[in-house]
Formats: sequence, structure tokens, C-alpha cells
Amino acid sequence: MKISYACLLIICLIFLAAAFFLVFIFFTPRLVSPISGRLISESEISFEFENADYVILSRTGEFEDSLILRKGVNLYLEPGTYFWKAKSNIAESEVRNFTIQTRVSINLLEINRSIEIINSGNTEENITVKNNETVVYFVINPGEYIETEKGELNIEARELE
Amino acid sequence: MEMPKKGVCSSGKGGRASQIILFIFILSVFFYVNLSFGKNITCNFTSSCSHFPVFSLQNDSGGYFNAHARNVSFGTYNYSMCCAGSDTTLSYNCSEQLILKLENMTNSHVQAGNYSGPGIVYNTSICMGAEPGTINCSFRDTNCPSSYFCLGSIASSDTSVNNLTNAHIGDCSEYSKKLCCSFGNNAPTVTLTYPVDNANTTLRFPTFNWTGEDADNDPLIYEINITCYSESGGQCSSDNRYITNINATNYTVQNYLQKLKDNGFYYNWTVRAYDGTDYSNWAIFRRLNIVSEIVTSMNVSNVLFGSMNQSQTKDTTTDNPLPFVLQNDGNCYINTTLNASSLWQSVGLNTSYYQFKVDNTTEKPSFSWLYSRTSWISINSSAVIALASMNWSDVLDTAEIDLKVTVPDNEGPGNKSSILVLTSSLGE
Repeated sequence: MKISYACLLIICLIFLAAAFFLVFIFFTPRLVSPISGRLISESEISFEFENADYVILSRTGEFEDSLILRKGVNLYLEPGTYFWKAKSNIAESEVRNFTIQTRVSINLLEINRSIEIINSGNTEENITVKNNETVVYFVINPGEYIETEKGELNIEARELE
Repeated sequence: MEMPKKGVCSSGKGGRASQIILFIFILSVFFYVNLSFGKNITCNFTSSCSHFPVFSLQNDSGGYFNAHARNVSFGTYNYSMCCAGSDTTLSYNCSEQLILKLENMTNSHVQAGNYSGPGIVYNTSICMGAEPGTINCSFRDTNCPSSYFCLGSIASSDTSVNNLTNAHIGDCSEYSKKLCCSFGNNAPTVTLTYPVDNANTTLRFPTFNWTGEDADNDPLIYEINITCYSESGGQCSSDNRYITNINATNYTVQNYLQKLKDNGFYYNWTVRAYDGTDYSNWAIFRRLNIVSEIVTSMNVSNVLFGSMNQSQTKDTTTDNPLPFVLQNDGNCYINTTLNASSLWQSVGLNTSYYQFKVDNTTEKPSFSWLYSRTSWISINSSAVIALASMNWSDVLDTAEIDLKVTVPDNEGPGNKSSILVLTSSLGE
């Protein structure tokens, strides 16, 4: 069987393309989650990626003031938009972004004769407590709480402007 | 450089001769100009040496062909090998270059300076030295190279010793064995000593050591070139270092080396010396890998809140009790996660009854405020980052970890304890 030089060249090119494809598949860092542009209501976040050693996270697309995270590390983030990419020693991935949404929420705990109002959201909250004719305002940081007396309470939480 | 002897050139007649004379004149101008700069030595046979007579010689008819030699300390013959140094001082320094040996102080056969036998080794030395600079002489069986000067030629009836002893001496053009000398500066050399090639170090401020040598004993100053490379290819030029005017044979980097082997980077380093005239070659470079070292310590291992009642809250923000203070004792930025076991029996983790936050000590900023947990957050059994990008430099390497506990309403009495786990990993 006679194979022309042109055929040999085409076969070589196919092999070369296959090799590049395999290198791309197996060695290029790949981002899995969060997907690009995702809106996230939880503050705790983890990153999934492949073929990379670490993630670079930043508030800017230029990756100023960035944070480097190794695999398997969870992180609490303030509300806002973040950019991230994964890096290995030989290559880095595309850049993706996601947004941690502002979440306003409170938890109430009954303790003896008082009520504990806990900011369970991820932003500073303006709490208004109405008890009959009395109105009291509080500002609570995330994770912190205030106590008020039990009674006919009307409690309202808003994001601090 | 071989000097023309007297009367070698004679002018011819006609246009062609004029062209040759003109050419030689132009050549001479260039020659003169070249020799006029920097250090050099010129030598020739003359009967009136006003500079530095190296040795004297004379034959039976009073000329300088096929002659015997005399040490000039004994007086001079009609002719002397006369040398003049420009920007250098000539001497009879035998520790620099032993040119010839004479059988006697005067009317003597000559011997190559480095002759060691067979037969008698003469004991009258003819030497030459220059300061600054170095003279190197050797006998050659060909004309001296253009950058050399010739101090004569010798021949012996005893050819079995390669004409190197029991010889007559004459003008350079006379015999085939010529005494050729070079003069100039010897470039220094540098050898790297420590760290060894491909060394791994945890020092971000490593010290590089080397040795420098200069045959002229000139004082040396050094330059070090530290180049950062990526293992994937190419340079990480943002962290290259090029330091000049180093007077010692070691150098400690002033700003820490930023790129870690953990992240696929390494450094090549090399040094060269300068003796005031010439640079040495760059020494054969060596590779240095900076590897991370993650080490932390804490001032206290226990936080004791003492006796508490139901619904009572205590925390460490007022230093009563003292909070944990984490110190980064390693050589790199770290991220530290925190998780813990349950404190209370009546409620689990991830509640406001057991919380933490991180804060500055007097060393601030020692961590990234943006990515660290600086407000109270419920402690969980799964690890979350408490301290992000914590610094490792001695003046900025501590951070507080505050705890806040609230006794649940329905919590029973007894000792309550929880184990906190802090795990640090590379954060750069």
C-alpha cells in the first residue's frame, strides 16, 4: 500500500491536534462552581475547580487586593461582586464572577422574660421594635443580637442605608 | 608586540614607494594612538636606555646579535633591552615574572627562566614586574602574537634541550625561539559557594556567598543577578534583582524573595566581579528554590470563662479572659480556618450561643480585613476561614481570635468545654 506524503502530513496534524486537545483537557485549570454571574444568597462559599492548585479571589477584575485559597477551604464573604480564577504551576483558568446578595434576616430567641433578636443576615440591620406605643430602633451587626422585653412586639428589620 | 629594529625600513623611490610610506605612516599614527591609551609597555634594543634596562647584551664586535648577556646590576653593555611603561611602573620583581637565568653576572650564556634541567640550572635571575598590571612571558617557536612584545630570541648549540639553556641571545628576528611577553590586566574570576545549586531554602531573605580572585590582587567589587523563573517557562520579571557595588563576598537580599517553589517559581543567581579595569565573566549560575514553611503558635492554649449563669454572656473582647493570639512563625502568608466541637449540651453548633471573630493586636494590619471574619459569627463544625492572608514578618504577624459564649436557658450545670481547631495553609 502506498501512502503519499500529503496523507502522512494530515495524519501527523491529526495526532498533533489530538495531543493539544488532551493537554488542554488534562492540564488547563477549569472552574466548576460557582458558575459565572451566579447570585448567591448564602455568605459561606466554597470553590470547586480542576487541574489547579489554588484559587485567586478578588473584588476587582484586575485582581488587586486578592486572596489565594487552596482546595477545600470555605469562606464567609461580605455582600458584593467577586472575581475568581484558578491557577496551576503551568496555566491559569478563565476569570469568573459571582455576587453575594445582601440578605436581611433575624432570628428570635425567647430567654426567660426577654426576647433576643439576632441578626442572622449578612449585613448591618436597622431593627425597629414596636411595643404598644413604644418604638425603639437598633443597629445590629451580622451575628450580633439585642435583647428586648417580651410583649406584643412588632419587629421590623431593614438593611442599614 | 614585536618592535621593529633600527634601520629596518628604508624609503624607496617613485609613486608606489610613496604610497607604502604613506600607508606605514597612517598605520603608525593608528598604532601610536592605540598605544597612547591605557597601560602598555614598549621595549626595544638600544644603546642609550633612558627607561628600564631589562638586561644588557653584547657580541664580540659590540653588537646585539648572537650575544652574551649581562645583569644590569653589574653595569650595562653597549646595548640593552630597554622597556618603557605607560601608566605602569616597571621593576625587577622576581615574584612576578622570571624571564631569563644567566650562568654568570656578565658575559654569560642564557637559560630560559623556567628551565629546570637536565644539566645546570643557572642562578642569576633576570626578572621583570609591573605595577599595576601583570607581565607574563614564555618562549615560543613562532613570532610573538600581535598583542605581545618581544624581549629577544635565543639559540643554543645544545639542541637536545630545545635551545633553552647554554644559549646565545639576540634580536627578536635572529633566532626562532623568541621570548614573548604579554602585559595587561588579568580579569578577575568568581566562584559561587553557597547556597549550592538547586538548593531548597525556607529563608525569604537568603544570603548568597561566593569567592572572587584576581591575579593582579586588585580590589574587587561585585554585582549579583537574581532572576526569577516560572517552571512553566519564561521569567517572572517582577521579582528580578540586580545589585551592584557590593564590596563583600556575600549578599543578603533586602526585600524578601516573593516567588515560592510551591507556586511553580524558582530563582537563578550569579555574580561577577569588577577589578577597576575588567569584569569577570558571570559565574555559572545556580538555582535556588524558596519553599514555604507554615508554622504558627499561640500565647495561650485555653480560654477560661469561669462560672456563668443561664442567659449570661461573656466574651474576650475586653481581655477578660484573654483571647487567643495566633502568631505566624513561618515564612509565608497563611490562611487559617477555624472549627470546633460543641460547647453546650442543650444547643448545637452554628448558633449565637458560641461565636468567634478575629481582631487586630497592636501589630496591624497583620491580615486581610476584607476576607477575614471580623464580626461575630457562629462557630461551626466545618472549617471556615477566620484569618485570611496573615502576614509573616515579625512586626506584623499576630492576630486575636475572640470568643463569645452565651449560656442557653435550658443548659444544665457542669463543666463545659469545646476544642477549637485552627488549621493554617499557604495563603500566597
